Amino acid sequence: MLRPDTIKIQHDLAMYCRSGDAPTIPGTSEGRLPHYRRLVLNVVSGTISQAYPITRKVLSEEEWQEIFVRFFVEHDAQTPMLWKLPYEYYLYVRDHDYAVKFNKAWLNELLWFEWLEIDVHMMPDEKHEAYTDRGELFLDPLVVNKDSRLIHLEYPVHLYPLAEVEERKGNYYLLIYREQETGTVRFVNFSVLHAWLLERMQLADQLSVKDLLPELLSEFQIQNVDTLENQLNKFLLEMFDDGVILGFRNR
Amino acid sequence: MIGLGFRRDFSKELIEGDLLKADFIEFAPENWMEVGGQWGRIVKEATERYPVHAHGLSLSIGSPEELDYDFLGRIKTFLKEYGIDVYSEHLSFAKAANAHIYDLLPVPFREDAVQHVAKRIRQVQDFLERKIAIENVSYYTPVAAEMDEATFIRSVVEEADCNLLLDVNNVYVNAFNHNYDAKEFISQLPLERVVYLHMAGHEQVEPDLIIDTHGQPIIDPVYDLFDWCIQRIKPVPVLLERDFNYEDLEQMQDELTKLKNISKKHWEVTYAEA
Ligand SMILES: [Fe+2]
Repeated sequence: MLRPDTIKIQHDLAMYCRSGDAPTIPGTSEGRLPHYRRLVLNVVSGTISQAYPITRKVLSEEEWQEIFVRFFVEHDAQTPMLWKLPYEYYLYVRDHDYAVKFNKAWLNELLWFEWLEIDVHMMPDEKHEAYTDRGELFLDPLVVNKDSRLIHLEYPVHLYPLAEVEERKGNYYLLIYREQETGTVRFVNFSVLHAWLLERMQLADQLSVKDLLPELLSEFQIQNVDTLENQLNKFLLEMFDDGVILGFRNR
Repeated sequence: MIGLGFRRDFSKELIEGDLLKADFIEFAPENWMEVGGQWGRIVKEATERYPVHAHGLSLSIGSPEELDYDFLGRIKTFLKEYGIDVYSEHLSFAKAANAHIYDLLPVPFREDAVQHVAKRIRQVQDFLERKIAIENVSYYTPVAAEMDEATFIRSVVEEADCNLLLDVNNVYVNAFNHNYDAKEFISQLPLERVVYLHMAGHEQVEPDLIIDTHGQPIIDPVYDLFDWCIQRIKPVPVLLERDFNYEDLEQMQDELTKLKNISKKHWEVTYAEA
C-alpha cells in the first residue's frame, strides 16, 4: 500500500507539469522541476500543433494559446497513445464552445476534418470481401473501401477559403478515405443521394445497386429512372477510378 | 546483438536500405499498435525482416492508481500478433491523477513505493505470461527520497522478481546530475538480472545538468562506461536509442559499429564470426 503522502507527491508532481503550480515536495533540487514542465509542454504542444496545421494558422496566436493552455492544464488526457491525443483536443474545443467564443462557427468542423485525415491515415485495415475488377455495375454487389469515414459538414472547410465558409453554410457530404495501394488519404465530395447510396452499400455489402434502387427511388421520390441510372452509372465509374469502390464482389 | 530503436523517420531505410545494419529493432507499442495503411505495412515488413523487442512508454508502472488492464490487454494482442517475446517498461510513472503526462516522472525512492511498484510489475508479468524487464530512468531531481536510487532499483526488481534493462546512458546522466560515481552505482545493481542494455546520447544544458534527449551521438565517457559495464554482465542485446536529429544515418551506423566492436571485445563467444 502506498502511503497517502507518496500518492500526494506523485499527484502534485504530475499536476505541476500541467499547471506550473510549484508543489512542496521534500528533497527536490532547486530549479530542476521546471525542466519536467518544459519537456511535457513541448511534447504535448508539438503533437497538437502538428495535428492541426490549418487551425494553428487561421487562429490568432492569442486564440491558439488560450485554448491550448487551458487544454493542457485542465484536460485529463486519457489515451496512452500520444498520436491520438489530438482527438481529445478536438472534443475539448468543441465541448468548451470556442467556436462561439471566438465567433468562428466553422472551428469545430475544421478541427474534425483535420483529425479525420490523421485518423483515416492510421486506422487499422478493415476486412473487405474478396473482389474482382470484372462484373456488372448494377447487378453485382460492389465492394466499397471501408478504410474511410463518410461525414456530413455544415461548413465546407475542405473546399473554400475559411473567410467564405460561413456564407456557404449548407449540407456537404464527403468521404475521407485511404487508397488501398499507396495508403494516401484523399477525400471526395458527394451529393446527399450519393452519400446515401454509398452508406447503404457499405452497410449492406451483399446488395447490388439494382437491389438498392427501389429504396433509393422512394427515399428521394424520383420518377425518372432512366436519368437516374445514367447518372449513377457515371458516378459509380468515377468511384472506381478514385479507389472508393474497390471492385465487384466475388460470387 | 546490436539493435536500433525503430522510428518513422528511418523506417524505410531500415527495411529497404543498406545504410543501417541492425541485428534487431525495438518498437514502442504505443506508436505502432492498432495501426493500418502505410504504417501498418511498415510494422509488418519490419517484423518480418528483424527480430523485435517491445519497449513501452505509457503503461506507467510507477503510478499510484490502478493498472490499465484494457491497455495491457491491447499490448498483449500486439505482442502476440507480431510474435514479440521481449517486453520492457520504465521504472517511473507517466500517469497520475487520472491523466497521461507523456513523459517519465521519477517515483519517490521509498519502501512503500518499492512494494507498490513491485506488485504492479508482478501483475503485469502474470497478465502477459512472461517476465518483463524494467529500465532505470534518468531523472533531474530526487523526489521525496528515503533511500538511494541503487537500493530502490535493486529492491524493486528483486521484490518483483523481474529482469533489469540497464540504460547505461541513464546511469551516466544521473551520476552527473546527482553527483555520484557511475561505476559504483552499477556495482550496486543486481547485474545478474540484466537482460538488455540501452545506449543513447544526451545534451548538457547547464553546467551541472544533462537532459536525456536521445538527440545526440553517444559521447566517449558513456562508451567507456559501457565498456566497463559489459565486462561485468553476461552477453545481452544492446540497443541504440535515437529520438531526434536523424539527418546523418551514417553517423548513427558508426555508433552501431562502435557498440558492436566494444561488445565483441568482451563477449567474443556470442559474436564469433560464422
Ligand atoms: Fe532507455
